[in-house]
Amino acid sequence: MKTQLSRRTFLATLASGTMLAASGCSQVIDRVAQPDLPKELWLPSGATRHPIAHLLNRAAYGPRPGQLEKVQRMGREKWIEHQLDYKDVDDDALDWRLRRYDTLNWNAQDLMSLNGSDDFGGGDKDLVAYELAQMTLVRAVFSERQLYEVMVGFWTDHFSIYQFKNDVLYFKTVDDRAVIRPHALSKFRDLLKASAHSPAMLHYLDNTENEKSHPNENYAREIMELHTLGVHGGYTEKDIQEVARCLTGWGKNRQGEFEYHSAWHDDGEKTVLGHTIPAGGGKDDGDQVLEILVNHPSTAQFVCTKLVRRFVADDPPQNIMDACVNTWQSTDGDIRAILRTLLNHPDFDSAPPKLKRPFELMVSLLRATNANYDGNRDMINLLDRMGHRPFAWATPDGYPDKATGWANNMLPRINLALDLINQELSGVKIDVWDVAERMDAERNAEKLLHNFGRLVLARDLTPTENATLWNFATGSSGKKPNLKDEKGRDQMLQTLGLLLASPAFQWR
Amino acid sequence: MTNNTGLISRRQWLQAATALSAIGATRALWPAWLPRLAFASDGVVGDTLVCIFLRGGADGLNMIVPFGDDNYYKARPVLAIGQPDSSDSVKALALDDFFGLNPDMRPLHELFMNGHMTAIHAAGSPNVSRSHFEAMDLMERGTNGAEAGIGSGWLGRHLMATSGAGDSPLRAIGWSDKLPTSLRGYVSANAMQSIADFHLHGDTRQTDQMAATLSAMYQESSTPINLTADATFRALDLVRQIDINQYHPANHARYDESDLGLGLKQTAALIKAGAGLEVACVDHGSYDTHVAQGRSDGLLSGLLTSLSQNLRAFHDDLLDYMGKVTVVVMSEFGRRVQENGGGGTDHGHGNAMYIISPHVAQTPVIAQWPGLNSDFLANGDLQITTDYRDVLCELLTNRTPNTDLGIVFPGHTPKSVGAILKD
Repeated sequence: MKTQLSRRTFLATLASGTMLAASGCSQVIDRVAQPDLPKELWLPSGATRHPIAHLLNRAAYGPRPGQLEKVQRMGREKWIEHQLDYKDVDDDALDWRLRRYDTLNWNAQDLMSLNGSDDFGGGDKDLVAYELAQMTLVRAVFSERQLYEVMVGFWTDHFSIYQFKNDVLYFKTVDDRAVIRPHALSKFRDLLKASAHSPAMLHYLDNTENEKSHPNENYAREIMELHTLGVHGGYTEKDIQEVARCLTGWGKNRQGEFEYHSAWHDDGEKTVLGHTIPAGGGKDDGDQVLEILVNHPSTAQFVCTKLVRRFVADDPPQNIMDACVNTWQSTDGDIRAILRTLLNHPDFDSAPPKLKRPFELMVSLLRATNANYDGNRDMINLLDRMGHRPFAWATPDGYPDKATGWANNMLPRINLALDLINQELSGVKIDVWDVAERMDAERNAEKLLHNFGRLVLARDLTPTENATLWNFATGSSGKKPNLKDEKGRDQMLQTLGLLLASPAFQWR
Repeated sequence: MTNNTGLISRRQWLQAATALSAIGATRALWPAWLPRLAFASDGVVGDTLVCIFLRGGADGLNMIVPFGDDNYYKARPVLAIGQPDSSDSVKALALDDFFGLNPDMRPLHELFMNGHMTAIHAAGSPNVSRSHFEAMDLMERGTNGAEAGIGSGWLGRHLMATSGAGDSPLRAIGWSDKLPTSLRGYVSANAMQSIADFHLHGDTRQTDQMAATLSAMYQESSTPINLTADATFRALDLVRQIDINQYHPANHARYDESDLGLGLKQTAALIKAGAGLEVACVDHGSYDTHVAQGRSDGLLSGLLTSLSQNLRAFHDDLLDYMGKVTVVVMSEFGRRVQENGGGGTDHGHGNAMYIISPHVAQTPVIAQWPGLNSDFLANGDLQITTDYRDVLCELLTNRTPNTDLGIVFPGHTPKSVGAILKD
């Protein structure tokens, strides 16, 4: 008999969480887990952005104060290798922050036991949906395994699952833990196979409804269009129907685990992309389809295009693309090897700017200012309003990754920076004056502006940025703000807020 | 003509200011929320277009029900809506002797019967894609896929083609967190979720200085976001004058709390305020009813109830303005004729489009019905006998000053549909 999470256990879990919060434990953990800043911050200068900052804006969610110097001392190639061997990167502080989430380790059955429990009204679903998004944001901001988190984000988009379709959210929490995270830096084949056996994916794309007498083609179509070959990858409507036949019976059981229902399976002969799949193969039909798809040349092309788009440019440069596809072919789709090729490519440093998506903007802001975030729901609601709540893109193509998808909503981006500097983001604290001290700029307004600019942009402010911001700082009186008095300090805070809201910080 | 950058000229601001002071004399006539901005001069600008996109592929066959086609009932033993005079508990409301309206759309029945609304059936994109993403993308970009390199949307190009007609920073709004693809290409289009939330945060005593500082930095930067930021700052300036919380819909119109209801209500407010709004886009759905589509109690029923309530509310709220407003409702494709085993329908092809305007043809349903007999189906789907671009072309020609349809729908030669008239 499987253990069903009883109402009592649930309440006890809740209570322990509540008591933890009430006793201030969470705040203590947040304080202890906050990354240390060096006593003196090294600041890059010059007209163009420091190349390590470029790396940290692409292979990580943006630099933290002091991180540039650390990576430079380590050497960029060594840092990349270290990040690729992510399991060796110590992340204890993050683990402490994650312990507050009830659903961190719940299995599908635990999660499903919340379903329909009228004792808790709608709150149970919210708990599951929010916590996964909250954990995602906390990890992006605080994990030392930055490249890994960036890749988890990439695959979350690639194998996008909308939490709010029916009961998908119960399985998505497991999908994140058992499909995306363990395979984010493995071989593409393993990731695709895991995803094809994921109850979340099969449920989301209706393969749980796909039976012999009433085939449902939804998953069959998307696995080719979005997960492997790409929309013009060389398959036909007939191929979709045949793949759907191969996948009949792939579904889930009552415990929320993968299960193959042989009675639902269409056991006739099929032809997929020119390959004959003989009759009587049973579940193996689907496994063969996955092999055919992984080995198809369109798949390497399609997935590499998306990777290069993520890390390099909206319009992927052909030479970097070719290098990545070559590595894919020589390593049988080893994601780590492809990333090594991509990040060490001689043209990587000269990649054109990528517009930060709202999630990336938020995370990079919190990192750049060494903000402490208590992991609450309000920030998820804010991301929702900015159109970028994790796991909330309704269609399976995942959030757009080109500037054109995001360039038309500047106000919330600007307000995010202004709210951060004014301590108006719920559960987020920043200490600009602590950072200022470490830049030896806490007494001089002009120096504060210059050094803060170098800290967050990894270059000198342009003459225009400098003149415009200084003009605001000095106001109509034209007097330099005095950092010894409250008014002067506040005026400089507003100025730094405008710097964070400026166009330069919108790009990564 | 005014400049093509979409920047508002000093002269235009002065005109707006003059219009405002002229109204001062009759201020009592105008409620507080309504600044009567008067951006557009009458006669130059056409109708305000309100484009509603039903995301996910709405089931047009269960919305405008072909009850006169026996094959409809054969293909849908579970999901079919009953004939108007049948004893079925869920039956269509007759629109003519062949088509009926889904009973959850009852609030719209009167509009259909009084010549204020029409449906164009078996319409859609000739592109055969059954992929939501590709089909939506193609439809919003106004291409059937044959013309490469069209990154902008059809409404974006329409606004570019008519730039100079109106010059308001609120010419085009997508009521959404992100700008819809159809509006892409027109830099001054704004995406916003609500008027009330559209203001600059930070030190409220220095809002003007902050906006000026940011605006200067965004103008200076050579990045592609500087133009959109400029549009944002100009819109901020205008929106500051509107107090949406004081807005009360007319004629007892009741919008619901959905994004669609909110979007339409705010659209109505901006139209009455004379804010120079020419295009508004609102999304509704998801209509991707692969399972549990239902008849009177499934996923589709809830969506149609909300859709119809809000469309009717919008019509009633704007009763005195509808002569200069056209609503068009569309979806990326219809659904398969044959229902599936999960109580739902899969991706199909042909679908119905809808227009609300007093200028529509006095025919509730316009259709060259291809029939649902298997001989006439396209891969099991309703054939398309009217290209959606023909409907949109007719709408732009007859209700806007646009004379350059070649830019809006490149490579397309429009045919007359007879759905909407000039006057």
